[in-house]
Amino acid sequence: MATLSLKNISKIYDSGNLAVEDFNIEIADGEFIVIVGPSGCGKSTTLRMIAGLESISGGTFKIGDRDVTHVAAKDRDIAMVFQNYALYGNMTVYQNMGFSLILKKVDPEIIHKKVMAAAKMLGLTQQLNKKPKALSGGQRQRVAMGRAIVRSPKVFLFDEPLSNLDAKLRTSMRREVKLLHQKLGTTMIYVTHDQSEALTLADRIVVMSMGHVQQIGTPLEIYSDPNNMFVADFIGTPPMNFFIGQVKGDSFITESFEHKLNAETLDLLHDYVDSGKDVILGIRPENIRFGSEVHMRVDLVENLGPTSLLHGTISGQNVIAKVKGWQEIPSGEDRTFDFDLKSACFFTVGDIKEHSYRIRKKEN
Amino acid sequence: MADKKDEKVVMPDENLFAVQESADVAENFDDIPKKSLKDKIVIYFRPEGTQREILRYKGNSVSQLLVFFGLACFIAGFSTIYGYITTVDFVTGLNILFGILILLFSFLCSQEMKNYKNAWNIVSFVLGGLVLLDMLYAIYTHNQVKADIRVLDDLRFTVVLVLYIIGAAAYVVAGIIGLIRTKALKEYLATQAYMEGDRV
Repeated sequence: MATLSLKNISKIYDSGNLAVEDFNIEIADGEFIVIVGPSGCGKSTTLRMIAGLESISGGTFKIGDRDVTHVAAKDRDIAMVFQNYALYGNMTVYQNMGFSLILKKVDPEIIHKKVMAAAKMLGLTQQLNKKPKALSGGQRQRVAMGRAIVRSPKVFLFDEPLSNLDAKLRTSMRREVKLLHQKLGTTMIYVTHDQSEALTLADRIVVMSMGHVQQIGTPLEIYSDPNNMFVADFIGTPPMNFFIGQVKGDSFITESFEHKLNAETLDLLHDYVDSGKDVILGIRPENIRFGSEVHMRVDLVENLGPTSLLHGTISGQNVIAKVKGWQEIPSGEDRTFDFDLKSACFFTVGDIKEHSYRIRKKEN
Repeated sequence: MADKKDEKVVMPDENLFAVQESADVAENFDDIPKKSLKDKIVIYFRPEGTQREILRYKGNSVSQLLVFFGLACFIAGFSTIYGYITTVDFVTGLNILFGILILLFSFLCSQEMKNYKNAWNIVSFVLGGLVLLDMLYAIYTHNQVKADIRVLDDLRFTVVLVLYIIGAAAYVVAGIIGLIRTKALKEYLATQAYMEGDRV
């Protein structure tokens, strides 16, 4: 069993830089957690604290019932796969994969069996006598994974392992990482800045920004029910469209358009109706369809086959709509659209996206 | 759709890897019974089964280390002699050249033996013989007398002889181990498909 419990985890460097603050999560055995966020948000720092490569400034970290907050990395029974593979260049693939077990003075026969099993699982049996410089990027990453697998750890940690690979290989390796998780059933914590990777791989996603957790949830929850504007903007390709305006009467009014609101939305926003307070409408591109409410000048059409992305502007504000079918719209042409407000999100206006919180129905 | 599911999907190895059915890595391999020292020595000189498979992926480090040990003994004996000689003549020059050649070939031999090269297992025997041959120079030096005093006294002479004998024995044992394990590896590889990086 490898349940993980991180409570109030924080990291403050000697310079006073607060890298991570108040990180809380309970991870079930066998769960695949993805920590996602922009560069510098503290996700790698969090992972390194879990690995034991960085000290934990505050809070507690437990693996099962064992408090490992101040336990050395080598004693945590955790294996890590790095972005730059971190292979030993003077050793063969076989030696790289078995090295940790050699250090533990494991019987050579046991080492051999474990290395061969991992190599077979990862398709590396023909590369075992080669050195890392003779391998492709994908093969090197597989060796790094194999090195982690042979240890049979309680937890696997992945620090942006696919970032150094080309786009095509990244997509295929992503799938194989997921299959590996299904095969091994071990708890995995994966760090990435790629939100599509997070949505593909995760059982649950942790979205981080500026050292803080913005939201924890399943991919569907994160995508369809974001807590704030940052999460809404960061997750989803193409990104969500945002419009700032006010609710007057039964309509949402901006400088450039007016859109009628349904009864359910009016109920949600009743504190803002005719109040003079600004509110932000967030609408995903796939929830914008051809209609009659909003005029948009279409500047560019990206035909993707079954769908098309229409890049345009509404009174100077860039907007992306995702519509069905192949579209032949000349650049600069005006079209009218409707917003599907059932799937829309409304946010308060904050100083930064992280402080623009989702307006939710108040529970009685 | 059901038929497609049953089809074996073959992935090109260059760019993708397939998570294949395999022995479960989480299987408890720790159930292998512990071996006694006697068993370990027997297995080392007569590798069977998994031990033969392991030869394919691990170099012959023991032979390599034995060659280095033999060389260290030779150098120790060589240095001892040259700390005491007073006559530098043609024979001295030949001996020095002899020593350099043993040094160079020992390094080469150690690396090639690690990679199970049979010819160099034989060279190791030759090097052992040459080290024994160098004992003649030790005797030559021991027989030199200056002012009624032996240049190389009995104690030091004995130490040099012992070092040379131990060194020669190390070379010979390295060669024997190399021959045995190279033969075992060759027999194993004869039953396997070639893999890039195979040493034999």
